[in-house]
Amino acid sequence: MRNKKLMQYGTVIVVCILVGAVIALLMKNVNASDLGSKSLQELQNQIIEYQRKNEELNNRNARLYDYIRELERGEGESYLLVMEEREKFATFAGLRAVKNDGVVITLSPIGNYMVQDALVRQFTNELSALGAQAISINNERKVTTTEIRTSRENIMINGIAFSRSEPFEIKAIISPTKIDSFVVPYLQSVSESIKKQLGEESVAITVRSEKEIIIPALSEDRIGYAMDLLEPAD
Amino acid sequence: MNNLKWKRIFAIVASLLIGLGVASVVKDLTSMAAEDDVGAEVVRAREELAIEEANFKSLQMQNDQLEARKKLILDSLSEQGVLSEAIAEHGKFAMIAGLTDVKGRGVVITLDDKPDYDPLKDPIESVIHDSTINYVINILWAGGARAISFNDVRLTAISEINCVGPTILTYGVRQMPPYVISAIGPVDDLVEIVRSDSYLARLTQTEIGIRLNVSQEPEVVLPSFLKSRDYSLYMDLLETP
Repeated sequence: MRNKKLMQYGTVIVVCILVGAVIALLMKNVNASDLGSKSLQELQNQIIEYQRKNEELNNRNARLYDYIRELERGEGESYLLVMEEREKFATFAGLRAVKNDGVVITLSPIGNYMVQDALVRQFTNELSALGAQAISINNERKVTTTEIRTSRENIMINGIAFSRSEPFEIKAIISPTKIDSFVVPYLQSVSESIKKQLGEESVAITVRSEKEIIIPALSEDRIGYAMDLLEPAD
Repeated sequence: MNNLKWKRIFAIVASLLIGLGVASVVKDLTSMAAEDDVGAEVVRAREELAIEEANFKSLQMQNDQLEARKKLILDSLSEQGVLSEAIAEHGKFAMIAGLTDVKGRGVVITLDDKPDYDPLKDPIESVIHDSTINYVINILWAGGARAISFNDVRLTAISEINCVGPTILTYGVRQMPPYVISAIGPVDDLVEIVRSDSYLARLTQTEIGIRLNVSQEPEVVLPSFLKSRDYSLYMDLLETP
């Protein structure tokens, strides 16, 4: 009888020791592998980011060096170089009309529904994240200073009021290689989820790809041209 | 009887602790070699990162010198009356495009997640998302801002701010909180538009807990976009109609 009891105690103690050992091993494994791989992964991400930045900067310095050499050589070359770079800056700033393949998104309010600024912003932000290089909303070029903000029955874009009861057309130039394979299906899935959120009877959203879209330049009377509060810092 | 029960409980707890202790020692001994390997990889990665950082600094210094040289030549051509109109427009368009360093009166807005954010208890809005940043930037433009940077990355016509998982990226550059948005513009209007915004007021309530600070600055200096990325990569699809 006593032997049986001792056996029972012994078994319980051995099982407890094993359970304790298993818990300890599991906890150590999770903590150690998590911390080690996390910091290593973080460092590797930083290295990749710096390598990309260095490659870009190296290429830019090489181009800048050539540009300076050409400028120093003088004559007619300088004029061409300055004019060419001036046009690049203007195009990048949205001050020149541009064309290429892209997508057109139309937001048409249904019934008494009024288009929300957040909806227009969501699509322009999605397009930027998808790599759009030029965007217009109702033919207003999106530039650095462009606001998209509700003001009563209108949405203000570059200081111009657009009625929230009328359709909004967003055009974007985007890499032709991914328009049909990725951009249009993705934007259509975004539209579907928005429609579910807002209800079917709120806004009709269409997304289509289009060849040779023309995106207009910013008009010269818009605030995007204003530099009155800026001073060169160098 | 009670005494026996306590003895049993004590025996079980003691056995568990012995198990934990033994396993811990065994694990320490066996994993020491593996940890050494991970540690060595971390050290190597740190060294590699230090080299890349040093390269970056040196390339940036070279870039500053080249930009200064270019500016000197353009200024000198302009002073000689050669290309002065083209050079003036060149400078103006570069400034509008966000490709020069600029300064002026402005505001600095700092946004940070709720302290000790708990994903199980706190609402999802307690963490700053790309949409929060884009929202603040949009109201600053609406308030008349002339130039904005986000965590020292200058914003351009295509302000690419988006989330990949939990990380916010600006033109592919990873950002970490606190998020700092600096804007040059009509200071009073900018402060007013941020302070009177109902959405931001809701975010900063205790239950959501976003930390928002707005400060007026007599001089804000914003870096050129060129300090972060190469602008030509963002316009290679644009053709003249």
